[in-house]
Amino acid sequence: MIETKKLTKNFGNLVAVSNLDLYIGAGDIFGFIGPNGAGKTTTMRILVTLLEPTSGEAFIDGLKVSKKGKEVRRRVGYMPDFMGVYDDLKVFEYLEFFAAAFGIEYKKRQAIVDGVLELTDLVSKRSAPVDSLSRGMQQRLGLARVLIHDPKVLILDEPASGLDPRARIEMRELLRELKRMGKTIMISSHILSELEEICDRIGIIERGQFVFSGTMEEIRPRLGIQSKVRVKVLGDPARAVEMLSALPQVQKVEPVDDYLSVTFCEGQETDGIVARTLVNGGLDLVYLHPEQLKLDDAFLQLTKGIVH
Amino acid sequence: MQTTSILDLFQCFCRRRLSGPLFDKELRIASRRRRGYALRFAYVLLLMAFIALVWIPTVQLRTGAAMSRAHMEAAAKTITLGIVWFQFVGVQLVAAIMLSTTVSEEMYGRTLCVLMTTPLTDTDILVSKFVGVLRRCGPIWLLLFAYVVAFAWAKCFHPMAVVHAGVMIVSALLFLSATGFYFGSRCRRTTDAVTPNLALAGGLWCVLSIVAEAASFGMGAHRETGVSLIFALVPFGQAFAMVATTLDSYVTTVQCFGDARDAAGMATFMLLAMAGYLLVSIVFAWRAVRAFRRRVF
Repeated sequence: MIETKKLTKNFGNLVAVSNLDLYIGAGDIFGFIGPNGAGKTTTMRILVTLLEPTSGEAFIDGLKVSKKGKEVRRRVGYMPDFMGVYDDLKVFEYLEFFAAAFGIEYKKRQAIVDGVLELTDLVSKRSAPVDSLSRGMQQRLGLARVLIHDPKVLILDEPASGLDPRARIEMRELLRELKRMGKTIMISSHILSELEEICDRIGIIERGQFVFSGTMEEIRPRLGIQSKVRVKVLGDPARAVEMLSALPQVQKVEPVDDYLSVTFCEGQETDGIVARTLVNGGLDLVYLHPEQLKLDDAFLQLTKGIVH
Repeated sequence: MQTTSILDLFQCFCRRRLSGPLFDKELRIASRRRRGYALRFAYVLLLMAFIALVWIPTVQLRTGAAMSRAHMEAAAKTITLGIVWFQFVGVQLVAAIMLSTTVSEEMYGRTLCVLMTTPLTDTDILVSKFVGVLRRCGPIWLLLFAYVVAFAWAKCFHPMAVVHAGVMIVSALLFLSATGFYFGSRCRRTTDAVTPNLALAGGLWCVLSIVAEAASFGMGAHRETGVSLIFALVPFGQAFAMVATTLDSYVTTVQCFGDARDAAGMATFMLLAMAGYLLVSIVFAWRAVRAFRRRVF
């Protein structure tokens, strides 16, 4: 649905995006991560026809972005990192204006506006002036605007920035709902743990190039990080350490606070072996939890924090 | 990204895009801004004050009937001249400010980047904004035009005054619109867009007058050649020539390029000047459209 081939964008001597190859399939949520100035926003702006690439190609739904700008814009909903609103308009007028700009017939506009207001939970603010809305509500209004023409692709540049925790959770739920509706979503954010929960795939970009692109499962071997589990048993933890250390699949067992951290050898099948060993050994298992590789950790390991 | 040609501009006008969504939005927002009403009120107040300042001293003069009539005729002429000038200057000023700020306001408010992700083309956006400003300034222009038409109908003005007024308005409007969009598409802050536009118009018309005068002296030409150029090219000179050649029972002429030109003769020069302004305006408008998408961030 979204594809770039050797996409490059220079601003004078500054290389913002360099030979970027990207593919996002239909219905996927793709998390776009990188430090400030890495080239995320530039890539997104090229995809929504706001910037012209220096070289390379970008496609949305098979349409070349630089040639079929108008058709591309009909298929894409773009929410910039900082979005201005027309202060003198009411919420429904704002949405009706964009509905008209997308060529939606007058008769259908009201129903569509009501639909997106309901989806974004803004029905109670229908007649409120746009400038009276809180930041979180304005972000939701931005999302409502993006959905007004029912685009196949959503490109959201840090939609959760500046939102309080409750608004972030609401935004995340809204994105999940959009995924259920079959939208292809490209989303950038600095709140990396949020992307981890909603994205099918992630791309980590630095200095205009991907340093990683793939699923969360794929990022683990790339970083050389072995699987780990946290274990808590009733009784003598030293005995549990002894039993688990004897397993050929286990590389090391170390006590951390009141639980044990078990690190497996690379490439070993680990499903159920810890629980089975401990229970068969007569120990009561009270806690067993796989240690997830957090996106923030991967981000820090993959990027060097070098911003050009 | 988008190849925008002059042809697009004309197609835009032809495709009945003049009353598109952006036009509606522009009018809706403008109607809710209190400063707009304050400005209109101030405008009417200034006009009334001007008329009062000219008229009251005239009627207070205690002279004979014949003298009084002569004073009143002179006052009426001053008021007519004043209204034409006042309306003309006021409208151009308002139009220049509005056209310069209409794009830069969108840039400054970060709404332009959102607007440009809709299927509206750059030309659509500029034309809708132009028509929106035209609609908002329209009543004042119509008032000025109606004033001239009414006086021409009452045989106080030469009928050619209608042509003069039309040419003056269109020339200045086209020029200020194009330069307004040009600077508006380059400047994020509204003041940054308005200042160079007004400076260019004022500077050009002042410089044009000075150059015309200097050239006349320098080349040893008759001094009136410079004045002729000002009458033909500079809007305020045009307004003066219009009043001079169409008032006073149509008998007055102005010396223009060696000959005494009447209302019809001046209209020819004004039309030629309008063609020149049109060409320059097209160049500025084309440059504005080209720069529009590049300067969005």
